[in-house]
Amino acid sequence: MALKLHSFTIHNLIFKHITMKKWISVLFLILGAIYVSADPNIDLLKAVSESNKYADADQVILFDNTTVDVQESGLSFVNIHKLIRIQSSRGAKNNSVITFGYDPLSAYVEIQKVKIYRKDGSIEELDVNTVMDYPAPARAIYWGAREKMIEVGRLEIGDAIEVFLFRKGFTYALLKDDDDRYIPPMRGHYYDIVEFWSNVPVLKKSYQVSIPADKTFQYKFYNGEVKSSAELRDGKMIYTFCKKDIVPFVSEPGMVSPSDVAPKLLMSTSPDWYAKSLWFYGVNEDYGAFESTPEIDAKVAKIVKDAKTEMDTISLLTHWVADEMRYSGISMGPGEGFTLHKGEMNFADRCGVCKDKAGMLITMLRSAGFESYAAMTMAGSRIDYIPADQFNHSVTIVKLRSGEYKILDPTWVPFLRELWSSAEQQQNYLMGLPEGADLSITPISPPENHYFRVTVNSKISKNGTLTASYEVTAEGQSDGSVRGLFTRSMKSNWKNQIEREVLKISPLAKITSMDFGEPYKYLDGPILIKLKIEIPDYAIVTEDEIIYTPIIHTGIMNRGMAHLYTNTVSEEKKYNFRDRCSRLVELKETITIPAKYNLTNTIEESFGDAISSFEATLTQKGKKISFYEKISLGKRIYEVEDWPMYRKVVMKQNELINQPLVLSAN
Amino acid sequence: MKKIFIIIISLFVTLSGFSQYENADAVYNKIIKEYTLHENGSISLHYTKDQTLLSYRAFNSLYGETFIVYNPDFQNLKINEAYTIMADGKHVKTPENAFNEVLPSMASHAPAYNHLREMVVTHTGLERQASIHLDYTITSKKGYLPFLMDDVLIPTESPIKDYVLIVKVPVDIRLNYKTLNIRTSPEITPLDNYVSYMWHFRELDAVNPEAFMPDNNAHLPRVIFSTAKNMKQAYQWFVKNKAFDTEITEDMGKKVFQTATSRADEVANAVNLQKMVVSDLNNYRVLPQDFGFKFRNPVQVWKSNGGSELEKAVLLSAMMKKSGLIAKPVAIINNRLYDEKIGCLTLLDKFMVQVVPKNNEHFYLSVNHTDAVNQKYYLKDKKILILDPASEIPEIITENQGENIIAVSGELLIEDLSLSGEMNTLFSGHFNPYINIHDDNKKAERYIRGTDVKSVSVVKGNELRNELKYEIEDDKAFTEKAGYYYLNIPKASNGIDSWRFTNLFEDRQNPIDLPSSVDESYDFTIDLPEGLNMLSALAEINIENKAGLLKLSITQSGQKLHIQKSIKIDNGYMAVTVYNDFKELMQNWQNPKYSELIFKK
Repeated sequence: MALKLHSFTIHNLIFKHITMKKWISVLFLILGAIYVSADPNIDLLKAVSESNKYADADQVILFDNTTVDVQESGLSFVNIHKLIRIQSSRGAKNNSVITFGYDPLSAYVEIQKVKIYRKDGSIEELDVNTVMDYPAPARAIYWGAREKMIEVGRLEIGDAIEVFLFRKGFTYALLKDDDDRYIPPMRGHYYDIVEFWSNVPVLKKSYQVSIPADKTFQYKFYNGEVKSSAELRDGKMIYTFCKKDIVPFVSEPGMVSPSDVAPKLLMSTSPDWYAKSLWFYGVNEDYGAFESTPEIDAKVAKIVKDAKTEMDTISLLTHWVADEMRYSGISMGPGEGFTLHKGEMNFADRCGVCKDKAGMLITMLRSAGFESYAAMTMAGSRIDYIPADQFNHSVTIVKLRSGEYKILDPTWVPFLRELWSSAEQQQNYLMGLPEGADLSITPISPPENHYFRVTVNSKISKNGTLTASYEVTAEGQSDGSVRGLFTRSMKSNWKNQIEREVLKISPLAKITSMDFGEPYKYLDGPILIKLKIEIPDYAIVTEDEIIYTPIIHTGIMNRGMAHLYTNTVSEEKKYNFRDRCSRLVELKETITIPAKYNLTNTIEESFGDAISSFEATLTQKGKKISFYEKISLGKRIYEVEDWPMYRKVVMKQNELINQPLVLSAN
Repeated sequence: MKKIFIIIISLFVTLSGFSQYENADAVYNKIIKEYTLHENGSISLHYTKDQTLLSYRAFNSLYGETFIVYNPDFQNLKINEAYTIMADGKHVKTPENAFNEVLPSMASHAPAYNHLREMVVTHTGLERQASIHLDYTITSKKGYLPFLMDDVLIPTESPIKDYVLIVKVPVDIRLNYKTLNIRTSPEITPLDNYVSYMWHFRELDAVNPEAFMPDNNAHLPRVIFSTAKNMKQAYQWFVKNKAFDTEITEDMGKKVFQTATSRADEVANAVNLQKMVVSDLNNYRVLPQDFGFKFRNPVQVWKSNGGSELEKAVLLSAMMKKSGLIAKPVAIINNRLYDEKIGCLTLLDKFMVQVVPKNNEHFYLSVNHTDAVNQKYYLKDKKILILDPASEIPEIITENQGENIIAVSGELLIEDLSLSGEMNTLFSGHFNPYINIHDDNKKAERYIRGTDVKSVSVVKGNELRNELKYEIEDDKAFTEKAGYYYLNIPKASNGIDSWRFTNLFEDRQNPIDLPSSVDESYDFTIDLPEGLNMLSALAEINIENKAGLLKLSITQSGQKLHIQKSIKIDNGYMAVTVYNDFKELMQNWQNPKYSELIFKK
């Protein structure tokens, strides 16, 4: 199609406008046309348009080439060149603007050229003077992030966009002047994390980085293969990585982060994690991030005045920062990113992001006489061993008198009875210590630390009315889930939150008594909700039978049992999977039944392995029926091999939830 | 000693002052909202708040930031004062770095609205018992807003001790206003060359959000005002926008004819064009008031591949007109707020398209999603303002909601734990998926739930009612549990249960506003095989109360079961006093005993 249009243009030019005076112009136009028709993009686009392979895709990336030129200082110049073909109206909609985000304190971005290859063969170049540069939409973190956007406008299926982008800089940096602002904070070093997976088909992705030959450079390609080469040219080592025919990544329900399992390239000039640890320690100490003030000292003294042990002090300070310093990031300006805000600023603002909350706690712990440092971690995915900055979260380290380092997370423990959130167990972290540190991993938290218990005493009457009193209690992460009924809703709604749970049992359920204590006083003890309810006409009552669902099997307070929502359809897993946290569930119901009725069946079942297990008993003794169910799920991140037993446990609990209790008359 | 005494007294005063707000996360001590139409034509809004935070949630999630959206091309934002008084009385001035401009999310990926800005004021020094003070002014250039007008909802999710609303206009300008749902009149005072209207509200309760609250919170105290002479003048200004008369381009026309391909079926053409606009164009969540009530024409919208709801309504009607349809964009206004004497354009709540086929009833289509049902039936208690520049006088209509019926009857048979038989259904009004069924008869299958549909045929279908015949064949109708067999009684998937009004709490503070009235009924006879005995109790429940009627009947004669269920609520809008009656109907309707039957072999 494209060639036809150009041929027509050339034909007109040659046969209608041939004058001697215009020969030179014509010649240039012919050359231009030949150049255009020789445009390799046209051939690429033609090949895709003739293929059915991508019929289901919204868009196809024909190539995505990145070239990086790293300077001695670590400053990098990056050119990105992409060609995207539109395959559906959704693809057209999604590409009606081209947007690039950047942090002006540490990066410069330029949309250099955008061409549209129309399906009719015409080619348009957008006016890059229309590029908009504006503050990015934001919530919770207000660090002055910006975006550049160019309007592409209406596209049709078969159109394509070619984009040329230039970027220099880094994600975070210490601001100095001119290009210095773009030099990475770990001066002279370069790192990158390049995803070689995509949600749309990519015909070819390449990444080429040119690095001064005297720099140590290590790289590793994870979770797949890539074609790579290395060559020395003009004093620089040029590394090229290329992968073709990348098919869209297919996720599994509940899987770990795609970056743990999908192809990716990690590279770094940093020799090891020790170097990174030392740098992180140094950058914050040099800045004086943890210097205290008389006001902070006074506050610390007040907070810890009743502390009796070392752990009391640590706990009181951690929870003060968690609860009293809210998550909302405002910028300190130059240095924002890896530098933690000073204690004085945090204490005055009473707000900040994770690193600032970590910094506030370090300042307070130091004020209380502890040795304390910052650490970096990656919430949500694994940190691989190449020392590229795979961090998205910052936490606190305190050295105990025993010499052991303990990790604290004031960002993740507001109104949570933990100092380190077990929703971050099995998570890599790097401590910024004066002696340096290697990459570490947080330990598994035993399920007993996160128990969820429901204890019910109920009575079923011959007329089908159920009366029950029950207690819900929980600890650790399970406590957080249950307590969240209150701490994550408006006070005026607290009563309704409980009622909502009770109405899940039956629309006719009535609460006759309710006590949930003072949910914000979480340090006083595990959450305890006491309820008395009555449900008229609850059971099916026949001459011979009473049939109904016992309270513990109504899915009551299932917010404390996140595993019940696991998709168990698949018998096998391709990827590791995760739960929110390890968990122990204990459900107990003692039922008083009418005289002369007997249970039609009993249950005594237990199975499991070292990680996941299930146990249930259902027995009758006189007019009392006892139901007991125990589920233990031992980890947050599970291996593929753990799936069959985990699945069996979850399926069994769900199966029992739907099972009625049948009492038959003698 | 004196110091301790002062502290004790201060603490006592503070605690006693807030004890009445023990169920609140925060309390507004004072809000002042002052609108001024200046003599030079500019308009300013001066806003002041003084708010005390009482809970952790108040500063962690609710009130830590104030977000102010404005249009810097025409408006100037000045923060006059921002500080926090901490619990111990310490004054914390909001630092410079706590004022950050961002792009409002509604303008994200919307080049035409890229110059809108949102000032985020991060309040620092927050803790329980801290008070936030914020004072700012937005001044709009002359001409940016056609009139000084607004619809001011007074209560918030936190109680308010003192709220002052002031509207100042030059002496020669008349202000039309009304105060709704509260007995408060403005104090009218001449002030130099201005007249000031001041409403003073005290001790306002918090609004506790509940399911199915009235649209636009139309039951709550509010003040609506405008300097337009009346709605006619505001309308005339609004429809002056050239967008309404813009001819679509040749390219767009080509697309219209590719999309609206049916020669005779105007409904199909309209729906196809709607689908194209809904699926192909980005949706910008910008409201007319965010942009001075100005908007782009259909050609600009088409070329940019995205538009606001209003812009897409104008575009879709232009494309429909090109295809030969009679179509007009319309604006929707809440009936309870509308007053023809007050030309307040902020009341224009939604925009859609009215289509008038030559041989059919007119219908309404949304532009943000495809519709199963004529949107007319979602316009209960609404005024529809036809946006037609050719009409000098605003044409305002209300749509008769008619009867909203689901009636299902069936003769069913159980054999070998399979369910089969025929069901006749009637769907009308709000429950009539006319557009979906017109689009594809097969889509009718999705309107029966709880059993497998073998086939469905349309007996008689039009915009008002659809009569369908379903053939049922379901060999997985029963679920076995503990040796018993559970059968779900088939039901319509779009009936009252689809609204999911399941949280029937003990107390309710706000009126109930259901999407429509409802008249839903089921009448099944089921032939049971020998040896299959029903254990579920036979039932005969008849309730008639202020909310409506409910009938539940399960009877058995030999091996023939007869199940009748019906609920009828004539008025979808119910006062709080009717809540208990409504709850009684719904609790019984939702009782699983009457939707799931248990059998034993």
